[in-house]
Amino acid sequence: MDYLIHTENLSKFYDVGSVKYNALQGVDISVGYNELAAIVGPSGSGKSTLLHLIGGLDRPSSGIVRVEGNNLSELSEQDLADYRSKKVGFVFQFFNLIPYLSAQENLELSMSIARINKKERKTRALELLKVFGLESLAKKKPTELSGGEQQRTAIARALVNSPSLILADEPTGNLDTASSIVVMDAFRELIEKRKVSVIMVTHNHELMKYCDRIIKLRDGKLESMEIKK
Amino acid sequence: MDLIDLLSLSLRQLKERRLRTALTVLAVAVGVATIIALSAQAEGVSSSIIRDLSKLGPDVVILVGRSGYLFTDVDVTRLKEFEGVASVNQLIIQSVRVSGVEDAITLIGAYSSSLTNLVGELNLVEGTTYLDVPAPQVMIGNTLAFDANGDPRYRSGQPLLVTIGPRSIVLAIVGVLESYGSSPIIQPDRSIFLPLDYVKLYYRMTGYNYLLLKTKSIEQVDSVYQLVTNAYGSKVGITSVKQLSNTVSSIASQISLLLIGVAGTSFIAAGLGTFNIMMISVLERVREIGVLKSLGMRDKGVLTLYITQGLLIGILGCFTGLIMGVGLSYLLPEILSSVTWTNN
Ligand SMILES: Nc1ncnc2c1ncn2[C@@H]1O[C@H](COP(=O)(O)OP(=O)(O)OP(=O)(O)O)[C@@H](O)[C@H]1O
Ligand SMILES: [Mg+2]
Repeated sequence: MDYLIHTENLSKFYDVGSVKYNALQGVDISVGYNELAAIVGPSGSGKSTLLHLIGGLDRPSSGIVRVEGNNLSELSEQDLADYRSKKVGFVFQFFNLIPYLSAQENLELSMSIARINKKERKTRALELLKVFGLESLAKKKPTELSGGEQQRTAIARALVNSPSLILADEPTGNLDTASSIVVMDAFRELIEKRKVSVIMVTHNHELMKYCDRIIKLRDGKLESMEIKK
Repeated sequence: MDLIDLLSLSLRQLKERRLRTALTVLAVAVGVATIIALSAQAEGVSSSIIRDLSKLGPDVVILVGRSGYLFTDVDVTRLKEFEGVASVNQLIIQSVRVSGVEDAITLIGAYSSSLTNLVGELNLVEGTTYLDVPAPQVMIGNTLAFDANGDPRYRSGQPLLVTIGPRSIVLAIVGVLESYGSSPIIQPDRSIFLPLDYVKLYYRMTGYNYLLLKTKSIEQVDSVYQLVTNAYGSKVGITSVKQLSNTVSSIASQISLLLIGVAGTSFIAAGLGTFNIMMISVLERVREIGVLKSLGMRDKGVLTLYITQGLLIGILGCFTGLIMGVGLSYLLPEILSSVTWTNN
């Protein structure tokens, strides 16, 4: 079977003083195309670390991340930046949006980094904001938006460059159940309509039933990987 | 991300921290303004002194008789023979008091033909030059003719009471000189000019306490200086305008160096301030930089973003400083002269 993401013996050490700290140790996981995968596990188990390695935000200490068969470690700094810009959309738990830019400008910034021309940026930004019911809030700054509205703006921004992979770190962490379900429905719809895969970190067991794959981590190691299709 | 997008993002960041940006720009501006104002000042002071000196002409050598030594007509004839001497002007210079004027006034006895050598161009507000006859005529400087408010105190045709030592004499004013401003060695504005023959007669003097030599060319100043020194030794004090200018220039250039050092230090301080602010900006935006990188901005792009901001601050600061500096260069002499002393 073909996988979008495949890791082999993935490890990440952090040097804390003179001690090496294993945040991730020999993790082998796979995520298919058009899948919604959840990474779960206790705090400090390495969930964010794994997400960052998959997204090319950080480089592994050893092991391999393959995206559509390509080894991320073999990419240059520039190609890795391009990968983050065009192939991946990030949604973080906190501080997603640039505070002095409006919702619309936040979307446009992501496209300007991907070198999309100005006219196209505006139409695409407004189009996506509309999809998430944010068109009336386009000119508002993040501080003028509610937590849910900020999160939806962040998801909209993650989609502007039509990525094939969305990485979301506790995207519903500070949302109530109703808003969380809106976000999950949005993910499901994306997977069906836009052919993207979503990998999200979550603590919420309720949301796991929306997922096709559950990756459980503990102490930096893979505890189990469960496929529900 | 292209350059225009980077520039507009930089501007947004600077605008977000408006006060801080303004203060940093100001710091740079003050540094630049100090450099400009101080070096202009140093330049201005030295060139104004040099200009004053050159009123006398750079080819002038002045001889003063020491401990009562008076130059005689024999000396004058002898000096005229010296290689490089163009003319010798006999002078009697004394300090006197004039009624109605607080300060001491300089009395200068000179042939009318020497006057241009003394003050440069001879410009009169009214009246004429005196005649070279032993008669009590006087030409007065501008400060005597007009008081502090610019109202006339003495006019030509009026008598002038002059106190010389224990005695007083009355002279007839024949002319009033224009204002000459400050000038080296003699101050025309605070002087009265009399026919040399009258002064000689009045003081019963057979000689002159000052001689003003004009050399044929500036190059010969030094050789004339040497010849006079050889001939008279310590009996005579010698000053040349050229030597004076050189001394002034060298002092002025040392002062400029000092001022530029001070200004440079303030410029370095401004630079360090900017550097510090940029460091703080980067450090407090780590999360933001993280987001930008997750959106695919390269390290080079992030670097360019902040260098652009530093550059914008620098350009804006230099421009503001330039305007401030030029303004200050014009204002500073006014401020300085009103604080220290009032000329005339
Ligand atoms: N930059 C770092 N330097 C040192 N240690 C780090 C660093 N980042 C993470 N760690 C450590 O690595 C381990 C895994 O961190 P990670 O952020 O992946 O945990 P997590 O599973 O996302 O936890 P949470 O649910 O609390 O977000 C933690 O013990 C953390 O302390
Ligand atoms: Mg985490």
